[in-house]
Amino acid sequence: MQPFLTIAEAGALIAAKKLSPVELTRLCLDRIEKLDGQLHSFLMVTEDRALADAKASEARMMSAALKGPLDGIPIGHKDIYNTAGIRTTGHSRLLEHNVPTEDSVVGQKWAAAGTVLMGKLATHEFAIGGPSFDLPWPPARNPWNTDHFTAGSSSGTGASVAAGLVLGGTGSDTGGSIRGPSALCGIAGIKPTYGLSSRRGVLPLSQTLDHTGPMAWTVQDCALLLQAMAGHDPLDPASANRPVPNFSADLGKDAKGLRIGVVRHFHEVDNPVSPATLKGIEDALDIFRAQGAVISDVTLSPMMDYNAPGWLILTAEAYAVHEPWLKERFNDYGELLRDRLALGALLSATEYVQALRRRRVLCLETRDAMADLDILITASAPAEAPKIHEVPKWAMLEKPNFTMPFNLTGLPALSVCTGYGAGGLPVSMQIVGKPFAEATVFRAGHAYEMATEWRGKRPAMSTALTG
Amino acid sequence: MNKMSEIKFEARVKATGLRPKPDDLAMLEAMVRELDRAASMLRGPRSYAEEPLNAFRLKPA
Repeated sequence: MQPFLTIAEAGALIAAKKLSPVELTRLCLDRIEKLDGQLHSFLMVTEDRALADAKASEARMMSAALKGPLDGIPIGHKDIYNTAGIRTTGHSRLLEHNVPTEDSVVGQKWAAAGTVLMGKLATHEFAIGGPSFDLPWPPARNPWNTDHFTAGSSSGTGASVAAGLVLGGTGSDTGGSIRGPSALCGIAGIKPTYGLSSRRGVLPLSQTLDHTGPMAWTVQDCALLLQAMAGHDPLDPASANRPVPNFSADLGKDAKGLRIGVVRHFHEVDNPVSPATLKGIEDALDIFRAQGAVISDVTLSPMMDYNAPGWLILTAEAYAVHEPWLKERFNDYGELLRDRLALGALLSATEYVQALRRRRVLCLETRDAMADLDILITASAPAEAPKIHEVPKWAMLEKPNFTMPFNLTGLPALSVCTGYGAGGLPVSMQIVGKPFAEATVFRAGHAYEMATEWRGKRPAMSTALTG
Repeated sequence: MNKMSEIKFEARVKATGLRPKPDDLAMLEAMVRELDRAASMLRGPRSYAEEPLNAFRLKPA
């Protein structure tokens, strides 16, 4: 068996009866045992469950009854996704002993697709506020260099996918929590259109900004995972009631004819990115141009104009979620989270309303700016991952983040690895689409990955295991 | 505002029902200033009449 398989590769081998799901699962369990003591990407490894899932998949394989391309694929769930009978903590002392009775909707869908549940993955506490060192579990570490940050909040998913401990996993994204760790860990991750995939059974943070989505090694794998999680959920008030298209339909097409808008001022002026990040974006644009894409610059409002209402809405809505616990158990939260959420108590209703008003204007502005474009491109993160002990506590306004604009507007946004910086850590770009146009976003991301060599390189700690 | 009637930050926090540790207050107060700065960016003379009402009802591309 190749040491590192993508979901698409493993699925094809399983379908051809050339790969045993049990063997694949044991490989991942072995890697977890050897590496996760350094990575802390798992809060809980569900070994018995994983082997049972893998054996069931293998039985289906032998009887030609596979459920699809995810059957037998080892995955993990961010520990804000409820798992029936399996502890779900939000990486918080407040839920240290919480055992849900039902799976999240996404968990149910992935299980129905035949995935193998390897365990629960680290997050920032309640999907906000990290890295924290005062919680019952340590923060996840970056597999490219364990002295460095993973970003968050889907930190365990980013680390475990990059290191090859799982082939894919769930993330959630309220201000960038899928795309941030995807960027810093050098994998692919998509925040789908708002409402495309259910949030039911996932611990909430901010009801008008929360999204669920997949993270994996490649764009193609994200498309396969999203296929199995998208769809209307009448019990999620944000859920979109519309047919789910084939997200892989345009994979294999190059970028010919794509109309690409580069939000250059985001990454060159509003928050200037590192030289390696900028080079990655420019090189990607050269590739798209050579394939026949039509590229132009596009101007939106300054990135700070998106971040200010985004952070105010997030703070107000997150406080509303946590207020009862904050009043009863304030000091059971980690320091980062309690300070961050306490701000919500001091925010007036007027500020929240003004933020919502500004949001509407920015949604329209972005829609109009994309009228003659298929995708936007900018950075996902400003630079390579910083050292984990040098991450500033909060920097809401000093440097606006690249991801919040697309939570605010609800547009699908994908982070793709564009190479490695001077320290060997990944850099990335963000590809943004129109509402429900994930297939176009995947097409561009996959065309880029196929034209580059970055998916052939894994963290040294993982490759060292393979000899 | 008259200095005598100013509400101290500690009292403002206490009124919310939260009970932070005394050591947390200074950091919290600093962060509130940042929050206020974000809020100030949204205050402006904008007409409700010109405001789009349904912009967040997304439609397919």
